[in-house]
Amino acid sequence: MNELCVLLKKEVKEYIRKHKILIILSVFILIGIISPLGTKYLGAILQQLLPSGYEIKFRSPSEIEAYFQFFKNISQLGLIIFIFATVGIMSDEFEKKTIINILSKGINRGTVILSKFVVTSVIFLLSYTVSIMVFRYYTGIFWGNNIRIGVVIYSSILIYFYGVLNISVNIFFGTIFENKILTLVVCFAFNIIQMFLGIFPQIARYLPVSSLSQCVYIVEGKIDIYETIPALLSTLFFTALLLIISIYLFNRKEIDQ
Amino acid sequence: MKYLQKEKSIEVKNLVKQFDRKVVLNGISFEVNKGEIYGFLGPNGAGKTTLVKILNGLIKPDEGYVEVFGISPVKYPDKVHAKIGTLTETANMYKYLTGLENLMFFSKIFGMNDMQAKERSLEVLKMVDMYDEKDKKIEFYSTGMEKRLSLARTFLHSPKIVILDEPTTGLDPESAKNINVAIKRYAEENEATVFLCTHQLRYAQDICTKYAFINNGNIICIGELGDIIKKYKFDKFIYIEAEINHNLEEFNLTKLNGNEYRVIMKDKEQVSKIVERIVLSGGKVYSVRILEPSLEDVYFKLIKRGGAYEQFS
Repeated sequence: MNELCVLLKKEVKEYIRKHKILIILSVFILIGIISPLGTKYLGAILQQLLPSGYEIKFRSPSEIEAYFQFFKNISQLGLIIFIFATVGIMSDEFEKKTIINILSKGINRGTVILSKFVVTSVIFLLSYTVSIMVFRYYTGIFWGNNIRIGVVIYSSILIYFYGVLNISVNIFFGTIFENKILTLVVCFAFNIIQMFLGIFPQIARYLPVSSLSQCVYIVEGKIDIYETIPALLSTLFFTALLLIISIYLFNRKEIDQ
Repeated sequence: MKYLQKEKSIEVKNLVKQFDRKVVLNGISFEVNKGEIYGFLGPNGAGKTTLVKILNGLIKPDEGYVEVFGISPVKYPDKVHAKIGTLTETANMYKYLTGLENLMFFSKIFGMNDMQAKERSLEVLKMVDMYDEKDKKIEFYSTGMEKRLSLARTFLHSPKIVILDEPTTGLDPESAKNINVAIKRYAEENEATVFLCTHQLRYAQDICTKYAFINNGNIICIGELGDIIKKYKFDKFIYIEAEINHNLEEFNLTKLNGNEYRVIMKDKEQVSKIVERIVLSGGKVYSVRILEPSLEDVYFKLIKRGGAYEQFS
């Protein structure tokens, strides 16, 4: 337990000193701001850009459209920035040759992986929570927050656990490849391949990536919660599986440095 | 008759390690007794770092056994880690942390609380003359400073065995000397055993009490320098700077350059005989020195079978 606490503190310090927390929080807060503002004023902005004499007629944007924009921005821009910012959590230890100092002290290898997973998951949770709070502040001003908070929380859970899955993918491939670039490429490939597989409806409902669209449908009321369960369970299953395999592989790894 | 056995710190027997098809350690055996500063010398790629990793339990040998204070690092790495401190050649500290923060981090991993960690960290920083740099981030350290900090980290939990893999590589002579002084001081004050892996012979000779030479995974020889010199019959030389007026064929003097001559030393009596003969024949003797083979001479002769030393004999 002591080892875990020490490692957790070290990881937090790393996120702060390397400004990763600042970058992630800034991006997520920005998403929380631009999603509702962009939705609300898109028409007016476009109107300004048109040459004089031209007119565009827009219907008044709805709160649901703002949620659509928010979840889209989080799952695209937010997730991409998050992956970029955190891609080195495991691979950096190998590339920068800091891992030997820890392992030669006899520290439990599983604890090393757990500490990175926990801290990164908490930072993602923190960033996402701040983002949605900012978002809800503006949707409250513009539309009165008519979407029930329970629906918002459940949709957020879907997005959050998909982000956590990406963290475990990051750790898994970081452990295998020991290289930041390769890990980054594979992390993106993991998401893109799922999107292609999503073409097949029989497979789509079980794919973790389906959570990203389901969170919008939940807010729109187009699907029920139980329809999201297969994708959510699949997300949790693969998160746990990849973590367990990462710990197993790391325990057996001979550190060649 | 009482037979006194020295306490063994490290015992290695028939150790074999292979990576893919390359045999890195080829059935090596040796022992390090308590309190020795043991130089494990060999060129790059000889197998030194692989051995260090096995001693630390980071990798497993393919055959043979190894024990540190009677404990196998393969079976019980955590017990071994509690007794040893290791400085590896390539391992780095966390650049975004200061020197003190790095040491406190590792101290806490050893189970110290905040106060103990700070106290001990400051103590080892003073040991390696890094106290004034404690609040600087590692990214602003020079190579020498990083090495000294790594050495400080090695001493944190007062290990009884210190394993050092190339501690002076990449350092200027002054920094290397400082490292050596710190190692020697630690070993003396803590009655610790030091296992030093290096190819920097000059620095090894300053502090080591016993040696093993390794090349291509095989141990070439083991022993104290004096014993190795005797065993392999390395010659000592007498160098004389003199004006010699007569032929002194009976002494087999080899003229080097100017007024310098050299002869293989058979015994101490030979020195006074040569000097007496030169003076009595009307010559002048300016200087006489006896050159013993250095660690470098012995190393190159044995490892490379034809280094600079062999050309003299």
